[in-house]
Amino acid sequence: METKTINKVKEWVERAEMGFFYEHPAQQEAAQALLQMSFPTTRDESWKYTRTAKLAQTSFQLELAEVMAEVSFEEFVPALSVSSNFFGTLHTAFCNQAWRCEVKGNESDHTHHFVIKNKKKGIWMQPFWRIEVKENARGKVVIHSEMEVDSFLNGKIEIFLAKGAHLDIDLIQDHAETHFHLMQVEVIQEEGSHLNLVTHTLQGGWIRNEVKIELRGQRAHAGLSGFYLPENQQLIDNHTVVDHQVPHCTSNELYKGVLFDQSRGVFNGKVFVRKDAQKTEAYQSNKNIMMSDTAEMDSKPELEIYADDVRCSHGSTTGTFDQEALFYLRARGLSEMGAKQMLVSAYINEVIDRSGQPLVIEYVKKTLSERGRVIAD
Amino acid sequence: MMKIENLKASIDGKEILRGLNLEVKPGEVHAIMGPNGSGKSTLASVLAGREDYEVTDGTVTFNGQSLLDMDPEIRAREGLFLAFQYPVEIPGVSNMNFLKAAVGEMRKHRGQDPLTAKEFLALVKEKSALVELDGQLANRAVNEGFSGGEKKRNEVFQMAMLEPTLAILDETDSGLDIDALRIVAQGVNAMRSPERSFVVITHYQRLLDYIVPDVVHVLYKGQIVKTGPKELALELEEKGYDWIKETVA
Amino acid sequence: MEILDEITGKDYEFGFTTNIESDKIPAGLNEGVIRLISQKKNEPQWLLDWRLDAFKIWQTMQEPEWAHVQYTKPDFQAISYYAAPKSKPKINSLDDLDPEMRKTMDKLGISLDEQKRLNGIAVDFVMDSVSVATSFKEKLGELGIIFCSISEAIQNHGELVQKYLGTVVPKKDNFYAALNSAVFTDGSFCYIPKGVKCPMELSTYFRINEGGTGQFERTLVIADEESYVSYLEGCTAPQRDENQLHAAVVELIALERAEIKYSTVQNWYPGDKEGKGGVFNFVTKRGLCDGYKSKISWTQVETGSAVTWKYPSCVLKGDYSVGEFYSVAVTNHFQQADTGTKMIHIGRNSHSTIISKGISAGKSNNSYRGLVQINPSAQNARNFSQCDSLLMTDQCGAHTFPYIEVNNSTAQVEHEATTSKIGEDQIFYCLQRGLDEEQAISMIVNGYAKEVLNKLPMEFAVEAQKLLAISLEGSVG
Repeated sequence: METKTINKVKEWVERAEMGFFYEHPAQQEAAQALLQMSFPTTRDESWKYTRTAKLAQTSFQLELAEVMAEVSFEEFVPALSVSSNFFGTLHTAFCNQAWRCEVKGNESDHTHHFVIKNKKKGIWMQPFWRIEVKENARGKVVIHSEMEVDSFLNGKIEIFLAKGAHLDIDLIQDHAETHFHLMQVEVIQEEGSHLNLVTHTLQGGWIRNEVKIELRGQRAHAGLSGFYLPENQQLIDNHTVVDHQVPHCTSNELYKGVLFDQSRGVFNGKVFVRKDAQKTEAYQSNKNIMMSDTAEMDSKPELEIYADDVRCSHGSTTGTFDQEALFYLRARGLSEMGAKQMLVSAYINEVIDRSGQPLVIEYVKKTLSERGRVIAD
Repeated sequence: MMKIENLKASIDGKEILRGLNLEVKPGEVHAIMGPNGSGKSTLASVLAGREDYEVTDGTVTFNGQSLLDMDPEIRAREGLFLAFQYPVEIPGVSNMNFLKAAVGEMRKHRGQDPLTAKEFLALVKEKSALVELDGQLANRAVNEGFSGGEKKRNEVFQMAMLEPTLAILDETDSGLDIDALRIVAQGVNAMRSPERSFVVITHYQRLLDYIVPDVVHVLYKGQIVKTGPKELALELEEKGYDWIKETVA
Repeated sequence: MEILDEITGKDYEFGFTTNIESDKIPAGLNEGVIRLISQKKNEPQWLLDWRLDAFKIWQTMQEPEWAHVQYTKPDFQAISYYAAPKSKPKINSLDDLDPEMRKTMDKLGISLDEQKRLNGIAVDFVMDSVSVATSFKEKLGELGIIFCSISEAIQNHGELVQKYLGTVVPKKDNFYAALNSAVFTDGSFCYIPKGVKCPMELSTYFRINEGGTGQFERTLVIADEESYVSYLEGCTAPQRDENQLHAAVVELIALERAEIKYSTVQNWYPGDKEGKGGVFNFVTKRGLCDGYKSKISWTQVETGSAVTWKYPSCVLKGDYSVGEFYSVAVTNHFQQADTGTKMIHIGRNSHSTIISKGISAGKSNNSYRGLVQINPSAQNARNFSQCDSLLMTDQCGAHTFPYIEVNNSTAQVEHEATTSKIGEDQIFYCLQRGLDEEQAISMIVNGYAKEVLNKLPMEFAVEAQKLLAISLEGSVG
């Protein structure tokens, strides 16, 4: 059994015609480690609801992603480190593209905008971004991925917020149903820093976002939010960890989904409050509407708390459409479809509006409206 | 009854009371007025024994004993009652059970026999009428879902039940409409007696129309800066606290 | 708060052993031991085969590790799987009981006496491995209610046991359930016939007495159509340095319109203040709401055990069936609890409610783990979950791990959880009214847990309140 799994990884890695891009020792180390690893299965607690079998069985070729726009990013050689999880290790071993941006002053009216695109079938991309916001600086970043054909992107975003730094970052994910997408976002926040991360998942066949935030300095605040509107057989999985390591930090999390057809949504949020992180205030919420009898939502909001003087709460609701509201709108002459779209947009606008970037808000709303997913307000 | 000498207290290293002196004799009603931040609520908290405050100097003698050496519950059992400015809600704990336990402790401390259930209920009935607190209120959880006025009436009701020798009313008038204010004052007045003293802490003179004090003190920057008869309150109302600030400066 | 540090927690009140001669087989587990147990209990062949099958399954399984607890795994070969009081009494009247045993019951405050008889509670008493006394049998018999030890049921009502045993918790369900199926020695059995509302609380007290034994009891409660029963179990164990294993299985079956209310006051020895000793409580409890409008309600007050691993669950198969879970779990010192429930919605319009109140003190860890699963067939299913945690010290941990799986668009699932510290303002308010800190904490905690305590039968609610207070004495840092 064991040999079989190892072979699978090996085979898959070989099929992808691996090569070490940066010749960083961590790349070889990670590749070696990979041979001892296997694709996560639903027996792994953090992959309980998301299957990787289809991905593991598809062959991809490692290539570069096409960069459509890179406003104020520059290519660089990343400092790679070995990760403990499978996709992280995979990323370290075969990372072949990396960009960084640094925010030094107050750049509130400037956006670091990155658009990555793929139109090539059967390729596997391994991009890496590093965003650093220096002491007391303010920055805005958009990372926009448009993946049009069957392909696989295993990406990583590293964010470092220095003392008093402020970052608004929006991820816009707009993918074909045949695209596999795994994005790890790792954030480190120093004292008094402020993060506002919004993940806008417009569509995608298989998307897994893993956001990990370490609050290392006191009085730091992390806001993270996201929405997803999967249809057909799409799967959208959001995993988040907010690690309160020191006292007086706050976090606020809101993920909302509307699920259509046979789609699946997964939310797993963990708030971790370490022993000395007194006076932590953490709030986490996951809300879902089921639009179809064949859709499935698995929600796992977790609290793991080792300090006593804290205020932590989470909530999760999953349910049907507000029939009263629907009827009310129809009684006022809206079509059933129109009424639903209006209610869906009202539902997810709460998330979109959390973005710190008006242009993003406008773009996302307009795009969803053009596609008939919602009615613009 | 109670004598405060050169009391100094601070919170988080910041000194709030800076050498306060006050003597309250049995049966007297003292009003303590002062602008926001002058130390009024700190005084109430320090006297009741809240641990957040550090007493750095001074003494408080209460019925011949050193008050500051006592734990909060001993102070209460010795007859000191604080009507809280913001009475906390304690979900799930019924007002009646709470009071029964408290009355029980008081009586035990005074060497009295416990009340029978019947006696207790009779007492509740008698005392709740004082503050026009309907029977329903007595059966709810402590302060839970109470309106601001109900909370304050509940405080006075508890005071009547526990029969303290010294009652400190911390801004009991805040958040009360005129009817509630009248009821609360009525309850307090009914309890006035030659053995019982009151310290009424308030920002406004309004309450003192109903609970008429023997002495009025003005607290400013942690000290009593002016003491006078009840007319002082009226003067303050008219001239405002700036007048005091100027006088002191 | 300093005052409390000075007060040492009250010692475990129930930590006495009873000097009764017992018939205990040597430690170890193999097919021979299982045959011996079965033989000692004079069991039919089908049950021996069932046990042996379970043992085979168990041997292929591994002890689960996913729970948020850490402990040294028990050595299953070091446990004696059968210990019975030697003077196994044939009891017709309670006066015939071994005087030592009577004393045990008196110390437990159990109610085999007239007083509780007046209260109308029928008690089955299980000491170590076997059931020693069942009261009220006759009166219940008149109504056609069967309430006896499971050994007795196997002898006298074999067909009922065979029909239902293992139908809710299959042998292969989990590691401990498989072990229990192989070696269970006694437990309680209860059958309420069609249309009968059981007129009194049925109650079982479990006690581990012998050292080096494990207790593996098996409880089976069947409520036939339109019947009702309220059932209570209490648990205690003596203070011992080594850990004792308790791996019970409880199966409930509620048929059409039947209702089972199952309450537990669990006070197994939690170990001492340094975390030494205590019971490992690895229990599988599950109820099947099999029929239309059937209802199963679990209420538990958990204060004992060194390590608890327990998820009383409901399989809501019947349309309009109802599942409820009300829990208070207190952990102090070095106790660890990973407890919660599973609500599996299969039937249309099935409803479930989960109210969980965790209280962590000392250096303990207290986790809620719960699954709400709405299957595609469960049209209009509803669930509401509220999981609150109260922290008493900065050394303890409180964790919430809900799993919510929704597979039906008409479902409505709501989960809320909060974690907070015990209110210093609340304590001060009580102090100002003359209560001491212990009283204040006891009062606040009982208030916090009231929603759950209210669900207990009256007489036990009072006991449970006291138990909460005792468990938390000296707990605030």
